[in-house]
Amino acid sequence: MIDGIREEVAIIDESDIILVRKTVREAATKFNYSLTDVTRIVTAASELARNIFLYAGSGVMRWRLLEGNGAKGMELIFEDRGPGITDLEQAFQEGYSTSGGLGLGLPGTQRLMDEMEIDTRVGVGTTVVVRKWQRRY
Amino acid sequence: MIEQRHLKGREPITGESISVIKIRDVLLVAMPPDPDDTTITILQEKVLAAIERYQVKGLVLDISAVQTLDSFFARVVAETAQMVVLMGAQTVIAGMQPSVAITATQLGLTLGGALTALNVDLALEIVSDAFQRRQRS
Amino acid sequence: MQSGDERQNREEVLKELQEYRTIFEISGSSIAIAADDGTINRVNAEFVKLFGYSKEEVEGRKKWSELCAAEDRDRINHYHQLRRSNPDSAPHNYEARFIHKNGGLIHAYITAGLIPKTQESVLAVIDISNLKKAEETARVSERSYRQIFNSVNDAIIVHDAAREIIVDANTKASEMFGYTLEEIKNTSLKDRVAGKHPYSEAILRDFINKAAKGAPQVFEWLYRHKDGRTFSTEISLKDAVISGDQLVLAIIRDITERKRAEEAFRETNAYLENLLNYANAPIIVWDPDYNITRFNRAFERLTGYRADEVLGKSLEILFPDDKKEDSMGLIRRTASGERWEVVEIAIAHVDQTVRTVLWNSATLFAPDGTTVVATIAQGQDITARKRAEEELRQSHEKLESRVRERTAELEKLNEALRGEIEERKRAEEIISRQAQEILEVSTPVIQIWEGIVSVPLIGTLDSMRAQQLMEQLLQRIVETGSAVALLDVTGVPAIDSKTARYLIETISAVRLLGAEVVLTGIRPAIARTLAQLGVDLSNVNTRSSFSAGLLFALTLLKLRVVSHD
Repeated sequence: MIDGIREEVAIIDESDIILVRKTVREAATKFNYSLTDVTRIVTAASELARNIFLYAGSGVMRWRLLEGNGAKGMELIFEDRGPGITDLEQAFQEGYSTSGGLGLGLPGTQRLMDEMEIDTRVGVGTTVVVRKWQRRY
Repeated sequence: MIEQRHLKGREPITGESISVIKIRDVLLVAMPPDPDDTTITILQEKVLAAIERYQVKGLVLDISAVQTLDSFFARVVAETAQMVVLMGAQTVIAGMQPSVAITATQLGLTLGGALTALNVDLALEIVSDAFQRRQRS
Repeated sequence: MQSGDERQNREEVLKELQEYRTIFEISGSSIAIAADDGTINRVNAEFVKLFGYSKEEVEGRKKWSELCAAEDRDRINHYHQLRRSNPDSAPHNYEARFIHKNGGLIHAYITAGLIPKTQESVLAVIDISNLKKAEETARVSERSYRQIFNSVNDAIIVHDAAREIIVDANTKASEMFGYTLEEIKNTSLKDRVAGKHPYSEAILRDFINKAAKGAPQVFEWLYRHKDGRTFSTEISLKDAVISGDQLVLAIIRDITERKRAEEAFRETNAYLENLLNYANAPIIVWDPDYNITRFNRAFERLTGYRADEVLGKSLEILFPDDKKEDSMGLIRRTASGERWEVVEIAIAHVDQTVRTVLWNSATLFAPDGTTVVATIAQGQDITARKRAEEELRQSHEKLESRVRERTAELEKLNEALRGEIEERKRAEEIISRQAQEILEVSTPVIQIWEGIVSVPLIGTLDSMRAQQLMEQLLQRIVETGSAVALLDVTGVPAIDSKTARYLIETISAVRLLGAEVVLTGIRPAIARTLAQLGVDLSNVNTRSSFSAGLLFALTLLKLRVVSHD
């Protein structure tokens, strides 16, 4: 179990993608991310939620705040019990897609966020963790 | 405490509720802030049907309210723009938010053959301009 | 009485004898009297003259056959004996050759007969050597005529008009038609016609009949060779009467080659004609009197005249009234052989508009190399180009004057920017990391013109600053409704791949908004780095200096303005 989870959203059908976006937007806005960063985080969340819906069928999104070493940030965790990603390297290639031509997903999402971690096991499922740190001014 | 969001928390936005307005020979569509995939798909069908029916010379997609432009939305816009071109008209995306533009760029989105304009006024000018140019040539 | 009668008789005989002797002596013919054995007993003066022998050398000493040429001797002896055994079967007249005392040959015509009641022959010899010579000459001459007849290059056919058959033809005729002379003879000149219209027998008969009536005919005709192919000829028919026969002489010349050459010439001519007529460039030809002799389709389109309206007319009608003299003056110089390089001459259309045409011309000379036969000129309508050039020039002038109007202001602004750059550079060096934050926030995005914002990038761009800058720039573009953003990197000392990517991202994001970026101040070092990093700036508007970028930005805006009115 991961500590500090504030909210979780079940991703079961297509409309839940909107719910993920709405949830993430409210949270990021509340924690004083700039408008552009809010948009980045929400868009990344939208991509990852859609991946779950398209490839795993269902899953869950959770988020929490990060704090430490004088830096503040937000972490989003996307978890599913889908088929897993057989070739992670290929999945990170620009333009790669196994379904519906939405191949921008992973590399694009990674560019929007500061950090991305993927834990995938074929036949077991996939967990994607992304983080965005707040800019220090 | 983990707050769970559920289906009942959704506010319904449907494609039917978005109006496709015809001004002279241009179709004007104002996109809602956070449209879901179904809304976007229904809207695409409505737009193509309207272009076929009215023989307009341009489609102006006002996305000034749009907060999240993800790969699905971008793909539908690009597809629509291509179809509109095939139907002899031109698509202009108007009023994209700076934060959306930055995010879209980093995500690697493209809008196919669609033109862009700072606002709806300029978009309308571009449509009539492009139409005149095509007629001249 | 008897003796008296006898004497009277003898006297009469003597008198008669005397008369004959006189006749014998003065006769114009050479006469010899030969005895039974062929010995010549008596010859007359004429004989002496003809044969060169004196009477003494011949009379009683030479035999008749001895004087004869060896080839004819046996025949002469035979006649001589025959005359005595069977006088009626011996020829009364014959020809034979004799030998003169000096060895010369004498052709002679002999009249021979026996003196009644004796065995003596009277032989009258007429010299026919000259006649023989004439005959020989005639024979030789006919042979040479035949030779000429056969060696000429034209077929010659002698046609009997009444019987409608060929009575003679030369070797060339048999070569030409492929038949032997024997095959040709007794056929008609009308045979072997090609048969296809209008080369029929009836028409050829008509020609032959006209010629037979004394009207020489010359015409082209198509014949068929024995091997089936047809060939073109030129026939000349003329009547002639030879030995009372009404003949038609046909001289036939094979003109297949000539026809082929003519055909080739016609084709070449037609090709050149088409080339000239349908060439896209207007082409005109005039004679030394400046009258138009050729006028192609392109020229018709250029002027609105039809060729038949201008052919034969003076060149003057092509020029606008106020330029007739100048243009004609220019053209007269071509008559002196002076070739135009390229000359601009205005041409008037019938609808009163004037077209500007670029001309080049060439003078055509007669074979003598000095007499001008014609001048040919080819033009290129540059009216549209001239108009475009003029419009471009005017629009340039307008733009330049607008730029000049605001130059002072811009320079002031530039000065301020430069000052700020200097200041910031200095500040960057001394201000601490904390102070830098403030500086970054204040990265100036300035609206320098209605529709143009400008950002000077200074110092090294890290990802934080670059993102911030991107946000600010986009925000300002939207706030000011600017269609063009000037991104000046003069103040950027070096660029790395990350920074380059931010630049490209910024440009893409600006375009998504519906505005355009002009990148200025890329120094060679930075350009090199970008090239090495593989950054493609080919579809990014770049200008070397800020002012050039500003000018370009104004052009972008102006184009937009122009396209709306």
